[in-house]
Amino acid sequence: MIGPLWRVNVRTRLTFWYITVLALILFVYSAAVYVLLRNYLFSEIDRKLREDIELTEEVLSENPDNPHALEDTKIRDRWLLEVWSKKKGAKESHKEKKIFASPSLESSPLGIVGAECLGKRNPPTTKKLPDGLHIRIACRTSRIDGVIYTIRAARSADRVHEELEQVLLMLALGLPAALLLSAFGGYMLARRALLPVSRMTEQAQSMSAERLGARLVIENPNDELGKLGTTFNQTFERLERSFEQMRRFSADASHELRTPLTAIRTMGEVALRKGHLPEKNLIEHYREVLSSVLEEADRLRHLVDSLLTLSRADAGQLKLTFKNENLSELVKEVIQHLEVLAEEKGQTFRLDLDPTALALIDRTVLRQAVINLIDNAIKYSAKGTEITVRVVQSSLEKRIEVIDHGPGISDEHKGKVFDRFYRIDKARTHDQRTYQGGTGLGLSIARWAAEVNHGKIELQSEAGRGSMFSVVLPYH
Amino acid sequence: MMRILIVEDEYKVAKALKEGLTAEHFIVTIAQTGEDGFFHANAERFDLVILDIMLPGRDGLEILRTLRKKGHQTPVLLLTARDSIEDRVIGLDSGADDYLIKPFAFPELLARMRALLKRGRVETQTKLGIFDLEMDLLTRKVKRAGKLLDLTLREFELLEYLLKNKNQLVSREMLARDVWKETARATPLDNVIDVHIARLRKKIDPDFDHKLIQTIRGVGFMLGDQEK
Repeated sequence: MIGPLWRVNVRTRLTFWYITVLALILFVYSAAVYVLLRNYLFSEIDRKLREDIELTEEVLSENPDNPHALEDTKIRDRWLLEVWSKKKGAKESHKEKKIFASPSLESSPLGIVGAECLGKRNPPTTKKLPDGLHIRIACRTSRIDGVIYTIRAARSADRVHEELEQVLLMLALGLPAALLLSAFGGYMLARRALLPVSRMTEQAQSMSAERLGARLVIENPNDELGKLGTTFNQTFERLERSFEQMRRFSADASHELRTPLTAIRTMGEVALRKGHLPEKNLIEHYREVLSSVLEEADRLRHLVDSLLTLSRADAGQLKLTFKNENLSELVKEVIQHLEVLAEEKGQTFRLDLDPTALALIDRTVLRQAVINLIDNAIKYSAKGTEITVRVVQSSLEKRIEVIDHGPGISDEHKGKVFDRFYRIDKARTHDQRTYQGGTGLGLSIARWAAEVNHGKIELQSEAGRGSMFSVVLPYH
Repeated sequence: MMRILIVEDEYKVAKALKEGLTAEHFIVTIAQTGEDGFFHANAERFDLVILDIMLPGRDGLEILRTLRKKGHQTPVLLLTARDSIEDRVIGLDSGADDYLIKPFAFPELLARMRALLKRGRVETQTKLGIFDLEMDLLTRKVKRAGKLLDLTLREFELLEYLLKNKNQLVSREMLARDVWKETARATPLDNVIDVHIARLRKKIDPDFDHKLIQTIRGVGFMLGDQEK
C-alpha cells in the first residue's frame, strides 16, 4: 500500500520532509533558548532575594530588639519583607510572632508561611498576587542570638515575565513564518533541481520506435541526473540497435521465405502452361516440377524450423536442463555424425580432446552449436584440407575450438557473421542443389546456444588462411 | 480394409490426405469441425483417428478427452502445428497414441499409422529381405544375391530401417529421428543422410541392373522391388 504522501510528486515530498525536520530542529532549539533564558532571569532575581535576606539578617543581628530598624534600610521600598520571630526555648507549638512586614504587605497578600519556608534550603517560588503582580518569593529560617527568625522576602518578577512573554510571542510568530519561508524556498529549490528530470521525461515521451534516434540533452554529465540521462541514452542506443536488427531481420526473413515461395509459384504456373506437350512428356515434366516444388517446400520447412528455434530462444521459452557433461564426448559424438561429410570432401579431422573437460551445460542446445560450427568448417573448407577440433580447459574457462583452413573471414565481415541471415557471399546461397547451402542462421543459432550456456563464441580469422571458432564456457 | 477418420479443418490438407490414404487402400472419412469429428468417432467404428489439435469449435484435445472418457479405445494420431514439448505432453496425457508436427511428410504419416495399426503384435522377425537382398538381424550379416556385403554399423541400421519400411517412402526426417535419434529439428543432418544413402547404394546396388534404393526427389527414399 502506498500512503497518500507517496502519491504526490517528488518535490512536494522532499519539501515535506525538509520542513518536518526543520520544524523539529527549530522547535527544540527554541524551547532550549526559552528555558535557558528563563532560568537565567530567575536566577538573577533569586540572587537579589538572597542579598535581601542577608541584609535583613544583618540588620536584625545589629538591632535584635528593634525590628523597625528594617524600615530604615535602603531596600525598604523596593522589596517586600516579612519577618517572624520565635524566642529560644519557647514551646514548639508556640506561634511565631510577626515582627515586621513591608507596608504593602500589611494585608498579608503572601498568605501564611507555607511549605516554602519549612526546609533548610528552600528554592524560591513564583506567585501571582490578586492585583496581578507576579512575584518571586524566597524564604529562610535563621537563628540569630538564640532567636529564630523566619525571613520571607519577595521581589516583583513582572519584568521577567514580560520579557519571557515577549520571547514566547516572538518565537510563536517567527517560527511558522520561518518555516513557511523555508518551505517555499525548499520547494523552489527542489523544483529547480528536478527540472532536468521533467525535461528528460518530456524528451523521453516524444521518443518512439520510429524516432529512437533522438537523445536526451545532458547538461552536466557528472552529476546524478547527468548520469541518469547518460544511462538512458545508452539504453536508447541499445534499443535503437535492436530495433534496427529486428527490422533487418524481418526484411531478411521475408526475403528468405519469399524466394522458395516465388520458385514454387513460378514452377507451378509455368507447368500449367505446358498443356500442348504430348502426354508422356507432360507426365515427365510434371513429375520434375512437383519434385522441385517439394524440395522448395522442404527448404521452407527448414527455414521455419530454424526461425522457430531462434524465436523461442528470443522469447526465453526454452526449458533448459543443465547437467555436468563431458565436452570431449559431446564433440566426439558430433564428429561421428558429421565425419562422412568430411570424408566425401577428402577432409581429415585432427582431434585434440581433453577427456577431463566437464561443463555444466544443456547438452541438446550446446550440441547444436558444435554441430553448426563443425558443419560450417566442412562446408566452407576446400577438399583435402584438415580440420582441427580441440577441447581445452584452463582455470578460467573451457573451450571447444574448431579450426579450419578455409577461405577465412575478413575483418569487415567478422562482426556480422553471427547476425541472422548474414552471408559473406550473397551468391553462394541458392546455387546449391540442396537447402543445406544454409539458412543463414547457423552461426546465429550457435551463438545463441553458447550464450544460453553462459558462454560465448569467439572468432579469430584471417582472410585466406582459415578461421577458428571457439565456444568459450565459464569454469564452474 | 482399415477405416480411418480424419478430423482436419483445412480442406486442402484433408483432401490430399484422403487421396493419399485411399491410394494406400484405406477407407477414409473426413470431418471438418470438432463437433462433426466427435459425432463420427462416437457413432461409427474406426481403426484409427487422425486428429488435428487446432479446430474451430471444439479443439482436438477436448474431443480426444471426451472420447477416452466414454471408453473409446481407437488409436488416435494427433496433428499439431505447435512444435513445443508442452503440447506433446498434453496430447499424450489426453490419451493420444502418437503425434506428428505440421508440416509433416506423407510417408511419415503412413509409417506412424502402420505402426499404430500394427501395435500389439510382437515382432518376431529375425530375417528381413527384399528381392535378392537378405538381412539377418541375429548374425548381423547382409547378402545380395548370396554375396556377403560389408556394412558399417550406421549403414546396417539404415538398411534395416529401409527394409522394415520396404516399398514405402521414407523421408529424411524419419531417418534423422529413427536412425540417427536426432530430436532437434533445426539440426542440419540432411547432407549426412544423403551421404550415407549414397554409400549404402554403392555397396548394394553397383553391379546389379536391378537397383533397390531409389531417391524420390523432394520426398526421400524407397527400398523397392519394382524399378521405377
